[in-house]
Amino acid sequence: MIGKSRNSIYKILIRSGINRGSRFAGPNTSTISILYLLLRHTATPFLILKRGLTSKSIHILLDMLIFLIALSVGFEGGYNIPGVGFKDLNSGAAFSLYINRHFRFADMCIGARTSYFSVENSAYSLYFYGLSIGLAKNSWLFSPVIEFGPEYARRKLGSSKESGYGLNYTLGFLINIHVEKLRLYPKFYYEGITDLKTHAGFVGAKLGVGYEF
Amino acid sequence: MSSKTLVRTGILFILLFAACEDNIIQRAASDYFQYREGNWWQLASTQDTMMVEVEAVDTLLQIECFTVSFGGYPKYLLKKPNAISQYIKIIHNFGGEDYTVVEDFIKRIELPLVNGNAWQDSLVDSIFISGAWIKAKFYTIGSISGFESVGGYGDVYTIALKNVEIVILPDTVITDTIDVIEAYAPDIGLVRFEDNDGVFDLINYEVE
Repeated sequence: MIGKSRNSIYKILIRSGINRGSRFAGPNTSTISILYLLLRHTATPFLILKRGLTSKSIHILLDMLIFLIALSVGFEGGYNIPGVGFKDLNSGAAFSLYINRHFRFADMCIGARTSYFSVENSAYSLYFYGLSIGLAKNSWLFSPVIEFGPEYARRKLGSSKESGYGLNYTLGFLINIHVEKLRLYPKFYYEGITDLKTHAGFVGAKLGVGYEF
Repeated sequence: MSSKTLVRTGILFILLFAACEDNIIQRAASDYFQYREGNWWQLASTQDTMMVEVEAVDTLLQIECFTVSFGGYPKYLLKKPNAISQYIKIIHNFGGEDYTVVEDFIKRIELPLVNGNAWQDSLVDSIFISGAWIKAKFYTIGSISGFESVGGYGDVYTIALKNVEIVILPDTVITDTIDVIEAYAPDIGLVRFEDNDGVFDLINYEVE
């Protein structure tokens, strides 16, 4: 049903020549998509108010969010080993989700991430949860990457827990490989974390995949 | 969002963060037990001073461990990622001859240090001497009673330890209990020691 209405709106837009004002020559599908989304979501707030927060309205809100802030979304997963401090830690796993938008000369990404570490004492675990804002250049094959953001740290040994906040910063580079709308990239970095008293960090590698709208 | 706004937001964020006293990274990343040969800590009470020194590595039960002298009394400590273990040997003298009843390493402090954690470990063994069983037990009960931010030291953990040695002879039971409180600072080590002789605070140290 949605596909049918989308097609009909596309046809109407192309026939009406609404795309002719675009700076690109010929029919521009991205402009049409944006207009379609605008049309589709004009009445969204009223519908949500009337019907409550249904799964459909959540889906529409997510659509709008992606439309407003993202040109690409992606996922990264990898491996961290202690570089500075954390002498007793073993290696850990790290994951992140992000949305990406071109911002002036670079690509800015906003993401959420988590990493987990263990030690020889199997009762102990160390988790980091963080938000990050970063800059890279997705159009370059070799791109430097810089990220920073707040981090929530949680340590647990048996039933005893400690938690607190830190600042996270990442410096590294990634190798961009574009396959149509997909962007695949290995990323190598140093990830530092500080509470402004102590600096520690990890050396890591991640494999990322991004989808560009 | 302009780059000016971004920079301002970043600076404000860092200032807000700096205002919060939270040293979680220090506690998670630092080494609280600086057992390396030559390191020493000088502690003083109102009446006395005590030197704690890390001496040459020794091998006991085919395991390399540090000899740490607490005011002249050596403790043989083994540092592993999950615990600081202590060598324990209980000897019973019978007829002028020493018999080893218990000999092993016991978990002294569980690592990593996390506030509120508690642990215990025990060693039990017996020996048959001249028609009678001699039984010995050594156990440790430990807990981290808290941490506090001490200026110049960082977040200092306070550890309460209770060591109990019991020797059960055919006609009697000998019990020896020692309660100590130790405080450790990140990348420094022992900064406070408390036992029956008093409270000793760090006055000087050298760690590499």
